[in-house]
Amino acid sequence: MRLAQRRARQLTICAAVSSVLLALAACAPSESLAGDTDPPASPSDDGSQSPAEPSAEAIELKVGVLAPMTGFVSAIGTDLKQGWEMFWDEHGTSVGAFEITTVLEDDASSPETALSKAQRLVTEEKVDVVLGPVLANQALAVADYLARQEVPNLSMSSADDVTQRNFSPFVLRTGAMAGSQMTFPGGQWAYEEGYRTAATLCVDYAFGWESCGGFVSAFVDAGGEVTQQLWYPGDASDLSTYVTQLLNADVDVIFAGTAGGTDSSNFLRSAADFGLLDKTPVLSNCCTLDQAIIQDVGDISLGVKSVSFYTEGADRVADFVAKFEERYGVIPSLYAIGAYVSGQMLVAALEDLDAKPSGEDLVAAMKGADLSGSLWGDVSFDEYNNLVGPVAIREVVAREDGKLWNVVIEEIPDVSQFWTFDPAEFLDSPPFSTTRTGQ
Amino acid sequence: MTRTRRFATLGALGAVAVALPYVAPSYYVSVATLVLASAVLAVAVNMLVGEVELFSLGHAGIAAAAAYGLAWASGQGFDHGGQLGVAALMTLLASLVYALISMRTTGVFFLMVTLAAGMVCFGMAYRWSSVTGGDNGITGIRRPELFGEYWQFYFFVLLVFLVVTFAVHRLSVSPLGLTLRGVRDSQTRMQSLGYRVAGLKFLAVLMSGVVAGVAGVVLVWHHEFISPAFAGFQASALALVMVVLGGAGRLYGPLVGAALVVLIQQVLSTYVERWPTVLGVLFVLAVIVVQRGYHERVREALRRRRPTAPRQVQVSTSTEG
Repeated sequence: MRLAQRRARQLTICAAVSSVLLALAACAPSESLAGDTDPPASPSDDGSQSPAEPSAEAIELKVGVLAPMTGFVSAIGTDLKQGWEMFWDEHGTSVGAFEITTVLEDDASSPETALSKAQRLVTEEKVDVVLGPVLANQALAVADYLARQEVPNLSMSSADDVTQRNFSPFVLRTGAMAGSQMTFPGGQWAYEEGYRTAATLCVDYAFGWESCGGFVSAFVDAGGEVTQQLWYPGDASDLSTYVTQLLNADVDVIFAGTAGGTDSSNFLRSAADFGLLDKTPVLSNCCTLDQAIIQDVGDISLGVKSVSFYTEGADRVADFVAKFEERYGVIPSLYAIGAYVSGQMLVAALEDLDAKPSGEDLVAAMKGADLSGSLWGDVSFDEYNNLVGPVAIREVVAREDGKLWNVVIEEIPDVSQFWTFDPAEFLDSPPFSTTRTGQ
Repeated sequence: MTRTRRFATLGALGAVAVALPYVAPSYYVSVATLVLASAVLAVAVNMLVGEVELFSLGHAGIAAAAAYGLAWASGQGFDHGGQLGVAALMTLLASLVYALISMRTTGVFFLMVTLAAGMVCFGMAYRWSSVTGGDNGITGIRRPELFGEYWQFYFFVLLVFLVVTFAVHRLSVSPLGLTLRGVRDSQTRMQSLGYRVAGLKFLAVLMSGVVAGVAGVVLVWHHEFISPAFAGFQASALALVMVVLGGAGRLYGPLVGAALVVLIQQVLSTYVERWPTVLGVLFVLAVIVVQRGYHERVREALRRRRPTAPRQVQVSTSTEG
């Protein structure tokens, strides 16, 4: 009896709660409930939102920075933050009519966290533009969200699809090049060096697929032949079995596309131990010979060649590198310079504006600014908001003070994310993977 | 007296929950949504802990199966009904597999089997890139127009959470729930009484899997994005952490645990760079300090399930002594 009574009561309560919830959901106003998502409608705003009334005071322009300060790529977050802070310390935060403020958020190297933090930046901090995040999956998720909020995103990620299949008018890749874009010239260069057969070793996820995809596409397109392709899991701690297989491959050149973590150090150490570096010429991607890796493995990296859009020993960036070293004691990584250049590009666009631009206008202004002679070299943006610019073949040498760094041995100008292929055809085909390794 | 107090507490909580979107900024409403959605996953894990004392380290795998089903269907242009259909199918499939491989295990073996199943789900999400988008995940998932706005979605998830919690509560006081607790307390006795223990566990995992599938759908609708991290070990482990933090086996434990974990992850991390340490310390404290209290309380409470109110008072005072 009592049980039945209680059951009936519980059911009634449940039904009542559900119907109240439904009613609330149906009746509430269609816009914001707490009055915070629609800045122009909110009287509490400081008026800077309204471009119509010119203000004697500087207009605040808020930049949200999403950087991985914790998690497995936290080293990148530190670099990015340092590059960004150094730029504003040097330049000053006053730009034309604007006063730049920065809100840094830790994205914890996770896409879900990056998304929530992007949401916080937009709805809580009401930022005008977001820099980052770095990891491919984060970048794609955040770009999708920001585009819907019409907040411009200065991308720091190398994921191809950020400016390809997932292209958005609100996303401008200022801090990096696409993954395959930066290895296309490697394929061409290898062929021109007289190599006709190649084997590849790349990390088995999107970044590695794109690295290998770029090299293989250009190498095969030039007339070369790829005889063997190896893929290793991202968390592999020992690459010697792969290196041994490459040792037995009878090829002219080996392309290595590693992820820039411990895998890169492991690859170089194994390749040196087994004599691969002496036997066959090795060309690698940007990150296999990043500063962090070079400092880690030391002299065995001497003379190893790689292909990237950033060379720390290039004349173009000498000033920046010297100042960065003086300030932080290390040679800047490509994430540090990526953040720095993004700051430069933002300033170049804002200098001529006297009212706060809409998201689309800001992207347009940044695309329209004169970018020749930037730290990336003579660059411009293509219609998909990706950089078209120089990519260099680099070699590790010892500097005068004994520190190792990369210097340019050949530079290929105006490299597009579609290389020499037709953009429409390129975008119609599926992205690079282990089953589709070349264009 | 206690019952009145309990109802008063519930009423106050309910009022806060309903009023939240009207007073809090949108970001905090969406954090609350995430808390509720994560709590649904924790409820799925908690069900097994409370009823059968089986600790799963792979439930994010089932949630991810549902979420990937929905994401894939949305990419294929299915309407929302079709997407939910695919998600339901995937949930059932994943739950069946989980239930079949774990129905004859107990204790640490159950933990290992579910961990392995979770890793298989993660591996598939990671490697089967033509369907799952690999590491890059799937973007462009949209929730139905009906609750497209953040606050509409909040009410929807609140409703889902309440319905799921109520259903689990009903289950725990049903004859089936009692039988399951019999299995927990003494498998051999239940066997000698003629119950098919493996079958009962199969059923328990299957039901818990369905709840995990629901969690997967609300979570993917919340993020409107999915990547393999959704199915990863960390996601499963965090669900278990939520259960432990909130007090394993308690009806409202998942909500408390989910709130703690999500708030630390989302809100505290803005101010404290070493937030993972805070989470870790809290977890350790929960296990060392609270564990015995929770453990006894849960045992007592479950043994004399459906007590009259005064007995519960006795239970809670006895744990303090």
